[in-house]
Amino acid sequence: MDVRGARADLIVGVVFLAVTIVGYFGLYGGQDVASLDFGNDPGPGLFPYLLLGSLCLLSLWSIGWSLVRGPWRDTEVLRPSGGWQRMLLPAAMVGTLVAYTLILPRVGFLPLTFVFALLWILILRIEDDFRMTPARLLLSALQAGGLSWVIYYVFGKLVKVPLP
Amino acid sequence: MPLANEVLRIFLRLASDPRPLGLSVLGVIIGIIFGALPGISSTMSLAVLLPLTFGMDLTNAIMFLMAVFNSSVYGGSIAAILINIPGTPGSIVTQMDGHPMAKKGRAGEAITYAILASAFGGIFGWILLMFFAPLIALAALKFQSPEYAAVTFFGLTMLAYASPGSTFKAFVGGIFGLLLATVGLDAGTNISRFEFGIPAMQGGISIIPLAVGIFGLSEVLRGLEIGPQRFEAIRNITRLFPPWKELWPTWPAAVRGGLIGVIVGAIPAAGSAIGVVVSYAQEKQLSKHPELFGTGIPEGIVSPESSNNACVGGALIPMMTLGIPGDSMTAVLIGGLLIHGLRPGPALFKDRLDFVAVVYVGLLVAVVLTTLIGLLGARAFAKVLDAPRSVLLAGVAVLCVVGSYAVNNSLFDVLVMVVFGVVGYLMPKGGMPVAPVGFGLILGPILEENIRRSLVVNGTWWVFLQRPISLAMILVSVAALVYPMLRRGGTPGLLTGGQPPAGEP
Repeated sequence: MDVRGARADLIVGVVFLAVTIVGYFGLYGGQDVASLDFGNDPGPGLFPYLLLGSLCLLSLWSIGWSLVRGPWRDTEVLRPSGGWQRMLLPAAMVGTLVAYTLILPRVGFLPLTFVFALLWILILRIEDDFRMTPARLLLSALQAGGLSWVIYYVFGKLVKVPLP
Repeated sequence: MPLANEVLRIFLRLASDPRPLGLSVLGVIIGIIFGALPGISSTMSLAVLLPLTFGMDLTNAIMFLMAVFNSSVYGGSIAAILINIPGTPGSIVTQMDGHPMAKKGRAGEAITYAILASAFGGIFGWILLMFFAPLIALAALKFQSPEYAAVTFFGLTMLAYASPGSTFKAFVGGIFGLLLATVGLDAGTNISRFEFGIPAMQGGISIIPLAVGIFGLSEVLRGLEIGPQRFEAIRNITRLFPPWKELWPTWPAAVRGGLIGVIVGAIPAAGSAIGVVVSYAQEKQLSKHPELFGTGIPEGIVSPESSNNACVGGALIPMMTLGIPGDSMTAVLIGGLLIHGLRPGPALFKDRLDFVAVVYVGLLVAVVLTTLIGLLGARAFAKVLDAPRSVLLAGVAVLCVVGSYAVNNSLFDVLVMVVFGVVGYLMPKGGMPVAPVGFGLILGPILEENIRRSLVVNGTWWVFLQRPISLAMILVSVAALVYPMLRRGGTPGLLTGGQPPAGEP
């Protein structure tokens, strides 16, 4: 689902204003840098503060102008043909990728990649109206296994990346 | 002369060591396959394949990357011609005449027109790169910190100006990228910024996980949202070579397309999608039979394809001479070079002629190999379009994980990649192009270092306005930002802009 027009400007403005606020308070965290003297160097805060200031102004401009135009009148919402449900698969992919990353050190690359690849191959095949038979299930498993092994071999053995 | 010696040395190495040439062949094959697959852009191909080069020496790595870079740009035209869906944003115009020609039973000839025009454009871009890059670098070597800072700012504003969609939002994205570049330990003072209590943040945000996220994973997520695409591929590829009397008259279209491609490619962030649209429109305007465009005429394939591949050489000019990416692919390439310990810029033409030479040779070899392999394997590459979407998307997702992990062997980088994959997926939904975020991350350290150095040495901000080159760059940058607003009659329609073309990062 894509948004265009004044409401998009409002969303962009609010999101980046939030980034500015978080950035302003998070620049130095708990570090005490106020007492430090950097000599002629304007210090490590100059550039981030310049950027945060610019981002703040641009965000406010974006919000202000969208409110002047009326964010609910001048807006175009482009919905995908399958409705909002079409965004479930991307969300599921993000979720499985985070889980994959967190579990990876415990399970190891090859078995976990096989499970991840098989899961997604099956999900996408079902979405494609692919009628699942034992032979096709076996084919999917072989493809997932082949994919995992090829990536493991190329990165783990040839490029020598110490995969978990 | 020393550069010519280096080029000769690289050619001699190619003759004595089979690995660089072998990697070029491999890169061309993979690049054409990835480029031909709809939903996998050239930038994504480069981003996910970049980690393969981490264990290679510089020559092998550049030869491989140049091969992927050039061939994936051509590969997009295969899908455009056979299934009427552009494989890459740069082949968005090729389908307009390529597919109608294929429907007339001339698919093989359409592919050959695309290959030959790509070769011509590639060589054209390469010649202009060889000619102009040393000249620009020579001038840039005289720059001091204020000029560097101003040129980098100019590059950033041009990136925003030339990005698809809204200039305003592209500029916001660029500033966000610059901000991301400040995360981590400050090199000058060792004080950490934006750490948020996470020790891993002290190392900063690497360009590779960010690039793989915004250019790679985001496309997987978009592919999942769009769902399975039904298309009917034209599989009947019979005669490959078009008649000479039809091929020969297309050379002016190839020259014009090549010239436009190099110029547009050299403008930071303009990208091949803009180059091909401009060259197609120009060709149609100059034609005696504009009504035939869109019906499957050779000029409609030759002009945009020549422009598309000429953009490669054009985009390398600002990258190599000023360290400013010419498009999203060169932004990813800069990330790879940083991993190999190289920061592109004019100093390379003084200190690292070996790198400059290997880029020249690598690009030339890539163009020649793309032409040969593209012609010989035209029928085989067409079968790539039958690749199962399920295996493809799952494979690319795993490649994104492994590619970002391989930079520092860190799972934190994988999480960074996932976060920026989501950012890259969501930003276009609000009409924001994502490429400026990557450009900002690359340009951030250069801009900050040179602003601070200018202030330390000169003690005043006025220094940026007191030096002619710096002043000129700042004035042009301001004009580039203000112009869109004036053009729209003072209304901040500047905010809304158009939607970035499909697949355009």
